[in-house]
Amino acid sequence: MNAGGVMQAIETDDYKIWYDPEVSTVYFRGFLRLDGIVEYQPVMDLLLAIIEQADAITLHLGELEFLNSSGISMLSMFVVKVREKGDLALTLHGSEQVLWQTKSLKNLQRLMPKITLILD
Amino acid sequence: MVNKQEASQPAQPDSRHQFDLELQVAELMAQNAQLKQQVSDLHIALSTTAEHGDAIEAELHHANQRLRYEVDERTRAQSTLQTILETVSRDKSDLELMLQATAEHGDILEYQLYTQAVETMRRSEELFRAISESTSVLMILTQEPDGAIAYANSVSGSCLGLAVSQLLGQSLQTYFANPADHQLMQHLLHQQGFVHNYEIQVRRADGALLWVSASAQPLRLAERATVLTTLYDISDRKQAEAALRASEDALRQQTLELEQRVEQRTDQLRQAEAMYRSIFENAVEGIFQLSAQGQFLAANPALARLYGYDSPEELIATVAQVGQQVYVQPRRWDELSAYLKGFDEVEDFESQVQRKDGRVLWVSENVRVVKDIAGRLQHYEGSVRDITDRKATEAELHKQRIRSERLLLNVLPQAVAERLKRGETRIADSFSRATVLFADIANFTHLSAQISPRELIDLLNNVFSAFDHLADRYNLEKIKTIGDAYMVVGGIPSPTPEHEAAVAHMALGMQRAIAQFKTPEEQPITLRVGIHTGPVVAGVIGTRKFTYDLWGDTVNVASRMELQGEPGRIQVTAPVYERLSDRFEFLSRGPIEIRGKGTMHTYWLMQARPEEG
Repeated sequence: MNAGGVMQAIETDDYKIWYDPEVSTVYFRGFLRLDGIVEYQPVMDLLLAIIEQADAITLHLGELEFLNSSGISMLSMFVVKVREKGDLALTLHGSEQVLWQTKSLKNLQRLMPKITLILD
Repeated sequence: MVNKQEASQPAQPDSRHQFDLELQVAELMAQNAQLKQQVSDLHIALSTTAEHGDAIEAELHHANQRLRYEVDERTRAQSTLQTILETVSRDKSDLELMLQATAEHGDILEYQLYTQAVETMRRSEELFRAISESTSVLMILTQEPDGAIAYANSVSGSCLGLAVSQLLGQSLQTYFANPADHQLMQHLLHQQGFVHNYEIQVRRADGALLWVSASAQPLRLAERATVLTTLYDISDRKQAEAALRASEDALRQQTLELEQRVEQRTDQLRQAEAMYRSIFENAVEGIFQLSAQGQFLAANPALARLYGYDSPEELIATVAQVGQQVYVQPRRWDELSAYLKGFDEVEDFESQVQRKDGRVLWVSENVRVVKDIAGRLQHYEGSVRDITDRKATEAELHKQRIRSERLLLNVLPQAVAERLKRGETRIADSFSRATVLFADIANFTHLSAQISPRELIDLLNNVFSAFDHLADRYNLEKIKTIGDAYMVVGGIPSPTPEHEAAVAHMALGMQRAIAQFKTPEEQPITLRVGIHTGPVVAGVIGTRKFTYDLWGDTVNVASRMELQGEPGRIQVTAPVYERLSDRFEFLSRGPIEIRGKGTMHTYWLMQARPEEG
């Protein structure tokens, strides 16, 4: 199931990110507070590798309790990449219980109005 | 042209004229030359101009060409620049959005973290205050380097005999009874970073000294070096320690005395033990000690013998739990221990027990609970007697008694039987009213001649059994049968409401029942029935073959009603008629002569009225 040898999951004590190809969904869980864009590169690489091969992707962020500013920058850049690809459907699935998601996910939608945003 | 016109004009005739002409020619020639020169100049000028024009033209063309190319180039560059501009402005807008997203995200996180931090701080401060105000320990915060008190809980104030506000700003060491203590604590704090349970004395505002156990812990509060000092009042303990030392000496003395007394007592006990041991060993009854779990702790030889073991040791070693290995009834031990828990002792507790060889015995036990000083169950002790023989006798007696009681109930009403059992010998009760019924098979004499005695008895048995059944049904008391006659009474020995009606129903039922029986020749068997109601005496007299019987005029009249009745009919007296006429249908027989009574008006009982059922 490892698509093209790309790492499909990243896991540390603080957070876990993994991809389920069955539902084309990347799940984020825990606390993401990597230091700067450079440290986010593996996450970005994981996401970019997936959109190389998929025509739709969902980022499931409901269980991501914390994301620092570098993290949101990384997500912004990812959204721009998706937009530039043109034919890719992007869904952001967040939670209203997590304060940052209610606001920041809407800001991401401004970069790409075609994003489907689910907050529950 | 001007030159040509001048040349064609006619020449003058004289010299002058010639001169003139020559002058003129010279002039003309000069003019001609000048003209030629002019023409040549013009030629030159023309050709120069033409060449120059060509050159200019070529140059202009070239310049034009270059300009057109340049315009194209510029147009191309402009479009490229336009594209770049678009991309750049798109990127700029993206970057603006990203910047905004990141900034707002940062703001949210900042807000959230700040709120959390403030909340956490508030809570920890609340917690600190709750702890410091609820504890009996003095808690004091001092600020370095001068040791001025920045915070003190209310206990600190009350302990030191001052208001908390008076403590603030003061140096903590001023309350130390011994200044050296403060220096030592400072030293410890620097050496090991903390002070734990250092016992010192502090001075209250009123001058009294207080023993406390002091601990100190450095903290950084609001970027200032602070020390949390806690003081724990241990004056009670210090007093107790002194008291303890005093009482220890007293105790040591007492212990010595006690030891001597114990030695004496032990000697006495040893003698007593030897005596009890002898009783225990030689007793006829089984004696035992049982643990709370039902295991033998001790047993005497008599018990071992009783349970079929060679020695008490074998009994103790073999029986792990009396409930399973001694008592036959599975829950007997549970019952015994439950009873003992409630009442502490039990006497004549009778159970079946199993010997080692499997034989079952009946035993009677006396058991009591032995408790320790705290009242906790320590073990049980008790004695056992073999009561197998007595039990066998009792069982036999019980069986006999049941049998005789059953017999007694067949001949006596239960209430009367109970009274006889209680020891009454002569029972004769007067009843103000009872209803007596006599019935007799009308053609019995004729019948007895026709069939064998055996068949006759069978027939009578069947008929009377049917009557017995009716008597039970109507709650009436059968008194007896005399030959082919049947006697039954209502209203005694225990009062029955409406016994007249019950007897009337019985009579009608008897007539219906008898109709089911036939003689061997298929002839109907007929019954005469008589009923009377009135006072009777009922009871049991005599000492042998006694029965419950009735006496009195009422009995005689009822018997007469039957004797002087008619087969298949029920004859009743006027009192019966009067009590039942509204519920049963009667036919008046009119006055008849009754032997020993004179003339009586009697009635035939026909049937129950429909509403009577």
